Amino acid sequence: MNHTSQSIRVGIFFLLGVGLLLLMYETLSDPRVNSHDGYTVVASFKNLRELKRSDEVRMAGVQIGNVLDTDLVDGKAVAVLLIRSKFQIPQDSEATILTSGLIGTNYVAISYGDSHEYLADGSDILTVESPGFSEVVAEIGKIGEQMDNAFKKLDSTLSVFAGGEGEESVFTNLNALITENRERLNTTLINLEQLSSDLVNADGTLNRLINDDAAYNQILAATENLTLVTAQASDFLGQLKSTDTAMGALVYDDTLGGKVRISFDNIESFTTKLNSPDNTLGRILADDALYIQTQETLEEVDDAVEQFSGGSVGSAAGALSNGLF
Amino acid sequence: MQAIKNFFGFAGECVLVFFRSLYYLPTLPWQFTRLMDYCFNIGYKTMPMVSIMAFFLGAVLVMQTGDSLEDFAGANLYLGRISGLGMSRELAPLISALLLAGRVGSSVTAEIASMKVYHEIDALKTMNVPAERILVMPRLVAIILMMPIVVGVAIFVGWYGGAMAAAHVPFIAQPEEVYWANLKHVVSFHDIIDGQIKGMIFGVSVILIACTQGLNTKGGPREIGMSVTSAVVASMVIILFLDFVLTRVLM
Repeated sequence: MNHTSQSIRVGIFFLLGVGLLLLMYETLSDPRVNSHDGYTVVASFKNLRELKRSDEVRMAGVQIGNVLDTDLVDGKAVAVLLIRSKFQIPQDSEATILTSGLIGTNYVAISYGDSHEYLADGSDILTVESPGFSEVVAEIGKIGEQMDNAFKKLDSTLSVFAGGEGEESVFTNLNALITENRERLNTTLINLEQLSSDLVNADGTLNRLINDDAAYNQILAATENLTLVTAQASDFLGQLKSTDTAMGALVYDDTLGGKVRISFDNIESFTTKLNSPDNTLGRILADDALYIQTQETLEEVDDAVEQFSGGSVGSAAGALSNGLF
Repeated sequence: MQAIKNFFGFAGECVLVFFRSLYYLPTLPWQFTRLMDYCFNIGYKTMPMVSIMAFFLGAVLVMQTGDSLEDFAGANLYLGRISGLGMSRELAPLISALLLAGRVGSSVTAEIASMKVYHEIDALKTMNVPAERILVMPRLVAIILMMPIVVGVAIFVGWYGGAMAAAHVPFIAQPEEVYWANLKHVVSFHDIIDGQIKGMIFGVSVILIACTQGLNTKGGPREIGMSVTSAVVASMVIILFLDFVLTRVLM
């Protein structure tokens, strides 16, 4: 291989290598944001999160520009957005920082407003804060704190049982109760034991009832008697039904019932007649003319008697009554 | 004790050879043909081997990390950044340097050692041509010119191998666009510069060790072989040690 071809190969190789490095540089260094083609819009946020230079600005998913610069002005994070001049943003559009994908890069999303006035170069755009991942985590942390507090309260409540500092707990009270009444509890338990052993050993009434045969037999006999009585009762009822007896006829015979009904009807008609002023008895009962006449008669009698007693003192009757009273 | 003495003696000699070579740098224009020859050997002929190594290393890196990251849902999105940063900052310069130590360092040591053993170096000295001027300096310039290219190609091919693995290995099956987007998002040109600095220092160390070891050879053919072996071993050890130091410094 002659030197010339060798040199040519090395030269080509070198140039290709340098070209590759340049390509890498172009790809990997921050894409140069060409500020000649477009206008800038200033968006101020509370927190830019991971937004950095050259990140995309999108409207409805279409890239319309890049983040030209990020800065901190008076405690506000400010992103200067370079929008390509062919895109116009309505004045009431709102800018938000969004994340593409789960761990992807951030970008500025601009909603398309309704206004017909468009943002001019260097003007401010309205912004909306969207919660970032870290803020969500912080929220969860707050919830954890609240749960912690709740558990603390629960703990203090439970310490009533366990006995806090200087406080008498439920358990200590219970303990004292048992300690004080130990003797009594003991005797009660002993009695109980005695009782149960008596039960087992066939002492006492209850036990005899349970374990003794005699009582059983008596109960059995009583039950038999009861059965007998029931049989007799049913026998009696059968006889009653057979209408041979007066009672049976009264209860079960229809003819007697019919007679009784007729008697009651007669009684009823009799009473109605009695009430009506058509007959003598009724007139006596219902008409008060008789009563009035009787009263007048009595009054006349009364007057006569008065005349008789007051008018003639010398009469025989008067003498008699005066002598007597 | 003797070993430590030898080590420091050898290190000092390397530094001396380096400065003597720098002293002869102005004579480079008259050695253009020689420089091209060395460049051809060091860069052009090393290229295929470096590309193959970088491609498969990148692919294996992505496969291994993809397999272990599979347990964490969504973590496979990080493949691009793992492969991108790993190749550019560490693996590409390291494997290029190790390959150069084996392929170029050994041949340089063998060549200079045999010249020394067969008194060609002495003959040159007699003609007032120091060995550093025509044997060491052009090689150093060649490696300084070629190393960025070699490392750059290694980085790029390694990334590409990673992309291939990410896209075509069934259990990763990540679209190439996702891989490249993630890589672009994380890797900056600064990382490539770091890699290039490493590669350059490794390359210069390899050539210096190889030349010094060759110039120090005494004896016969057996010593030539031993020289080559020790040059390659020393180069690799020095590369790994420098790699640790440089990673710490450049971090």
